[in-house]
Amino acid sequence: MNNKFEVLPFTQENLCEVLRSESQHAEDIPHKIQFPHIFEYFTRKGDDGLQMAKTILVENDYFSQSFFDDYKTKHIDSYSARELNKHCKRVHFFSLEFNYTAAESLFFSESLNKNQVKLLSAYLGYIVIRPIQYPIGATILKWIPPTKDKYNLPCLVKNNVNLFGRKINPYSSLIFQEQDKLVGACATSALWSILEKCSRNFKTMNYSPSRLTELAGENTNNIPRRLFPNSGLDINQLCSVLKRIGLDWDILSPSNESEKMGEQIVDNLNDEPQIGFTEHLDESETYNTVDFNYLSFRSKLYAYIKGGFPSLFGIRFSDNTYHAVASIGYREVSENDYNNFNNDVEGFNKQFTRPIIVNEMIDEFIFHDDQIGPFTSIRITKNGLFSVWNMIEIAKIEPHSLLTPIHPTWIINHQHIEDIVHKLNFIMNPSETVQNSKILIWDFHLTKSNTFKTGVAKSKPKFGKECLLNSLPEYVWLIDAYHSINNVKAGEKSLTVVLDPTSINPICPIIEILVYDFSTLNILKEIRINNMYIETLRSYRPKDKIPYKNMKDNSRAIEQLKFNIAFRTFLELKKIK
Amino acid sequence: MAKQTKSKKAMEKNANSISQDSIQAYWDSLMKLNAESKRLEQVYKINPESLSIPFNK
Repeated sequence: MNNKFEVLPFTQENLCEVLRSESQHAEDIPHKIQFPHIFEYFTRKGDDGLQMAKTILVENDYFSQSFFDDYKTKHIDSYSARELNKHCKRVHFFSLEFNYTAAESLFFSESLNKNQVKLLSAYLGYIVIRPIQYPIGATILKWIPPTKDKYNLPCLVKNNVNLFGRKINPYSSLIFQEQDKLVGACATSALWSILEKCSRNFKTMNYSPSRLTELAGENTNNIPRRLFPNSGLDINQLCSVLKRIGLDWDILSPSNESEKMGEQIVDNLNDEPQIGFTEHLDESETYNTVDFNYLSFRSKLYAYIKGGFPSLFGIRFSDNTYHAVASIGYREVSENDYNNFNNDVEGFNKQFTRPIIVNEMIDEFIFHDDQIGPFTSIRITKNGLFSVWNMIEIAKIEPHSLLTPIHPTWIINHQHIEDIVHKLNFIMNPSETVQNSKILIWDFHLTKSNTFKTGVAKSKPKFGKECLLNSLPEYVWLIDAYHSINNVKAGEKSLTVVLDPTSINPICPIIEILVYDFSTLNILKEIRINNMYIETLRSYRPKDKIPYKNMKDNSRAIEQLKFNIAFRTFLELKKIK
Repeated sequence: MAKQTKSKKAMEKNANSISQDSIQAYWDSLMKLNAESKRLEQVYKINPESLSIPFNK
C-alpha cells in the first residue's frame, strides 16, 4: 500500500477529514457553511433507496491549474505563505462500495473486467481540496436531483475526467468552487463557473479566478476599492471582464423605489375623465408594480437558462449586503405551481392586460452558490427568495440584478422578445380584451438553431416545416404559443415563432413561423387580410379629437399598430393561406 | 396573378367594411396596453446606482 491514494467508506467523519486543508482541523469542517449542503447532497437517496455516495477515493497529490494560477498571482507574495504547498488533494466520490485492493487492481489492470467497468460508471464526481483556508477548489459533481420532480439543467457541460490513467465516462456538470478571499469574492466564483459554459457556447478562453479579478479593473465608485485582497466586484466591473474576453451582456437591475403606478393612475382619474383601462380601476385594487418585479427575474432567468445560457444572479440581504450566484437550471412547472401562480397574479393580470407566460411560472432555480455549495435550489417568490432544501437558515433576501453574458452580435435581447410576446398576445388573443379569457399561453427562450431544427424534424406542424431547409443564424429566439387549459396551464402547441437575435429590424425580427393546428392557421389568415390596423393608424389624430386628447402616452398603441402591420407583411411573405 | 387580384379585392372589401365604431373600439383596447407597458419600462430601466454595489458575501 502506498500513500498516493486512500479509499474510505463514505461517512460524515470521513467527509470532514477529506474536506479539510493542511491548515485546518477536522473539527472545524462541520462548522463550515458548505459542509451540511455537501453532506446532504451525497446522502440523497439513489435508485436502491440508499444514500448515493458509498466510497471516497482521495488522490493525495493533485496539480490544479486554476489554483496554481491564483498561487502565482497572489499567494506567492506572502512571506507567511512561503512554505505553502502548491499541490492539492482531489477527492473522488463513488456510489459503489469497494476497497483499496479493488481500486489498485482497477488502476493497474491491462483490461477491465465487468466489476471494474461497473465501478467506473459509479463515479459521482470530485472536489479539489486546496492547501489554504478556503479549501474547496475546482469541484465537478454529477447532478443528483433532490426529489422526483422534473429538473432541467441545460447549462451543464460534458466533462472528461481521468483518474490515474482510467477514463471516467463523460458526465454533465458545471465547475464550482468556493471563493478564495485573497483573489476574489462571490461574484468572481460565480463568473468563473458561468464562463466555463460560455467558453463552450462562444469559444471564449477560460481564465483563473485571480485573472478574472484582474480583468475587472478599477471600480467606478467614488471610494476606490483595491482589487487584491478582493472585497467584491460590482456589475460595472463584471461587464468589463465580459468585454475584455469578447462578450457582451444583458442586464436586469430594476429600481427598488416604490412607484405605485395603479395609485398614480387613479389620482389622474380623479382629475380628469380618461378612457382606457383606468375606468375599470377601483382604488382598493391598486398594485405596487415593484412587487411584481420577481416575475421579470423568473422570466429572464428561464429564457436564457433553457437554451444553455447561464446568468449571474445578484441578491440582496435585509442587512443591505449583496451576493452573487451562478444560474444553471430550473424545476419544471407542476400542477401546484400553476395554481400558486394563478392565485399570486390573478388580480394583477386582470388589471394590467397582459399575456400568461410560462417563463413567469417557473419559480425554483438551481444555482452554484459559493457560500452554500454546488446545485443549490432557490425559489423566487412574491415574498422573497427561499432556499429549498439546504439546512442553512436564510434571512429575508430578494432579487437585485441579473447579468447574462451574451454574444456581441446579438441586438434583440430578452426585453425585446418579451415585448413581442405582449404584441403577439394582443393580436392572437383578440377576445381577451372583451371577455378577459386567455386563449394562448406563451413560452419564450433563446436556443441553438440546430436544437430548434431537431425539434421541428420530430414534430408535425400544419404549416412551416419547410423552414428546416432554410438557413438560420447560429442562435435563435423561439416564442411558443400553447392552447390554454383552464386559462393558465399550457396544453397543445399552437404556434412557434422564430426570431433572429442579430436582427436589425427591432419592430419585427421574426424570420420563421410554424403553425400546429388549423384554428391557429385561420386566425393568422384573418390577421393577414385584416385592414383594421392600417385604418386605425390612419384614423389616429393626436391631440385633435375627443376622447384621445386626454391620453398622456399612447406610444405603446402606435408601436402595437406598427408591429401588427409588420407582422401582417411577414405573413404575406410567408404566404399564409 | 388571378389569386393576387382576388386577395387584393378581399382586402379592399374588408377595408370598406370597417366602421368608425369598430376603429374606436380597437383604439380603446390598444390604450389598455399602456399600463403594462409602463410597468415593463420601469422593470427594464437600469438602476445606475445598483451597478456600482459590490457583491461581497
